[in-house]
Amino acid sequence: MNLFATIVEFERYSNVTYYSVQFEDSDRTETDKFFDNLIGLDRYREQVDELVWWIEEIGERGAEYDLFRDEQLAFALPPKSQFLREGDRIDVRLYFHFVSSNVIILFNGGVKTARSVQQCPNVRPHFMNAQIYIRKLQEIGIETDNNEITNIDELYFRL
Amino acid sequence: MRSFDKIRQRVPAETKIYISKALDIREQVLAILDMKGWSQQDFAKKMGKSESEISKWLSGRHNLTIKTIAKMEALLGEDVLVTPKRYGRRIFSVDEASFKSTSFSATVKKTRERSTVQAIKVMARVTRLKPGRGNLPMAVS
Repeated sequence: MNLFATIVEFERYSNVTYYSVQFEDSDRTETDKFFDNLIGLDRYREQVDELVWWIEEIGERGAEYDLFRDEQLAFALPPKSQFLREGDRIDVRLYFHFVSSNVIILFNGGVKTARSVQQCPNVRPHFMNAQIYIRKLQEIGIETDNNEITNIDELYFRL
Repeated sequence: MRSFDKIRQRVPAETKIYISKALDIREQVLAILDMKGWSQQDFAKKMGKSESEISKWLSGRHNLTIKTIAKMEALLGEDVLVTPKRYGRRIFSVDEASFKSTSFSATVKKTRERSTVQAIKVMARVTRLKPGRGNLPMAVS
């Protein structure tokens, strides 16, 4: 692929700033692509609406990692099923890097159609990419001050 | 406009309230446990429930009934749910001016980072009220 990726601010709330990854060949972040893909899917409308509001509420309150789905190096939204209404089946996954309670880097995701991530062609590539992005970012080292990444200009990598 | 913003605008009020309440209840119970120095395991033992059941209660996966909340409140000796009527709307009107004042709002904002229980205590101090039923403002979270 050999594409150049940077980290850009996605959305800022009282207690969490969300960032995302953007590739040089795209005018949208990876997280924008995720929402662009899902906004028109009526079947998942309720899940997508809830996901956006989890982002909003967590943004206002601060993030606690025990809320989220553990996806190896990454985490995923929406929160673990235990934090959702009984009987709900949640198929949508948005992967992210939990940098701190106040800084989150959102990636891409999709609709999970198989029992395991490995078996799902929709989310597997995004899950794999999330692991790669996090490794790259960990190699560089993310510096933060409260809800701000202070070395954002240094956070670029090639894939 | 970004899709994210379009979706944010269309989120139904019910969804917003559900997510907010689920987090409110979780934060409130965890704050009380923290104040009492109890772990979730201690709480489970005292409730005569398994830890996983309590984890479920605290999370929102369980659709909590009033009865379950009452059980929790009885054991904790603290309110998990607070209604405006119970805590007196008159207090809100009396202190509306101070609630709107910058210093008071700043105090509330700061205390949001702490537990709700602690926040209520701080608010009571600011409004020079003695903690107790019927005289505390409730809208912290």
